[in-house]
Amino acid sequence: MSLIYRINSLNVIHEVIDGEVVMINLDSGCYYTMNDSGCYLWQLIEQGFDHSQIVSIVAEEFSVSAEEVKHPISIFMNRLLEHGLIVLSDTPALTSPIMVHAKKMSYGPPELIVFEDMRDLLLLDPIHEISEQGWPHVASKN
Amino acid sequence: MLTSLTALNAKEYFSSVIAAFECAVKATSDIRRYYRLGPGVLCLRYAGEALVTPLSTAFSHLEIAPCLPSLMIHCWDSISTETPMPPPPWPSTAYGARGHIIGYNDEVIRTVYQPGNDILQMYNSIEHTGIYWMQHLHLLPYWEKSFPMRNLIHWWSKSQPLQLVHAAAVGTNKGGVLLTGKSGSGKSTTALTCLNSPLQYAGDDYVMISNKPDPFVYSLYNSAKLVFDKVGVLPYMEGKLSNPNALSGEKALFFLHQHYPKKLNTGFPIKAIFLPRVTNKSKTALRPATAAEALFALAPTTVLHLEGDSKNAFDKMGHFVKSAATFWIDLGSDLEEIPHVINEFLESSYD
Repeated sequence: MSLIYRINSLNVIHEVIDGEVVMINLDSGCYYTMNDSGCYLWQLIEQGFDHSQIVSIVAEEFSVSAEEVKHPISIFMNRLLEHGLIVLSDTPALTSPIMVHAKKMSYGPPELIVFEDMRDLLLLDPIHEISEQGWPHVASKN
Repeated sequence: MLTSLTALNAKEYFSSVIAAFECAVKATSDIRRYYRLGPGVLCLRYAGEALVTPLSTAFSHLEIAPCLPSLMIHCWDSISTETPMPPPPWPSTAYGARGHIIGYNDEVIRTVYQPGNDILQMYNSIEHTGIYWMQHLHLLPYWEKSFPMRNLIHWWSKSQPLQLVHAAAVGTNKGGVLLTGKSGSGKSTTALTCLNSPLQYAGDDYVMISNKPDPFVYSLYNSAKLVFDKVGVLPYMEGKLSNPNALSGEKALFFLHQHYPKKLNTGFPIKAIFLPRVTNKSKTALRPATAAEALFALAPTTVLHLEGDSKNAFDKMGHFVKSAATFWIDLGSDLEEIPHVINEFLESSYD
């Protein structure tokens, strides 16, 4: 049975504008964009296509062989899973998802571009002491 | 940690804190200040004088006569009012990222407490009422004075066609530009170069945007922050620092209402979103950006600095970037040229 994915909408906010995607993982503080083919795959995931369908659609849309796209797509899906942007789903794929078409471009391996510079904002402050009133402090302050 | 066996829930705790605030008012005085808050009204209600100046200065350009508030925030500290705060009812394991208190955030009540700066903020979305408490004023970090209560305003804006965003804005009543990008992108420098130009200033760090009916920006804070070594390149800013003795660990902080009251604008239509980028060229130039690039500059830095309601905020920002023109502004080393480039763009957009 082909793998089915769904976007991790609990932690991920995302938007596709004119074929460019912006997404933020609220749990990790990472934010992302993708190259053109990555964005196209993202829209196919969003529409509910399963892994096999995605491979077939990408091959047809870009007029390349399924063999050529199969491995890069698997790598890409694993990257999305590793970053918590998608999760595996046991819900059956949609029988008639809405077809999306790639904007005119030549095929390139899908790529996830990761930005980690704001992750520190989500780090927990280490609590060093608790006041008599019950409020925690990071450290003693004079 | 002091916790009772029957811990108060979020609503009960909120009520107990409001009751403690009223005790603090009785022990000191009831001070109310009113400000424009976008199309609404903000009332800051203080127990005693201690927090008035530190928390109100950034809003001072928006002060208005008393009227019915859209948002009321109760501000107090325990030391100056000699009024204890009810102890936190949550366990020590409840402190999450950005001060989120696990179990004390729901559709009605929002709660953050950051052990790093010891400020409790709570919001009741039904009563449009907030709480801003700290143990002692001396724990207030300098940056909080520059954009006080941003989370409370963010939570309030959830039910409004408004969104607090991490951005600067300059322009005139006829229209202006939103400048957005993460810290260090050049937002503040760009905004402050406009003080010596026909353009006015609506903010350099946080402003409020609206999508209805057209893109619009409201000023929130008249503060400006600069890394100290940048002050020298804006000579007219020297001598206007509010924190000249604390620059070893703080950015230079200015309150422009005290020095440039006529250069402040409370809000204007947005003609474009500019994405500043520091270059090594001398000339400043505009080049088209995509709406996605604008959202990429605006959204992560906004939602990752604010607590909660991220999806709602992201959707509002997505709509906003699609309804405005978007440009990169490649900042040249000739800072005097920057406002000219912006002004020239705006003049052409007014037709």
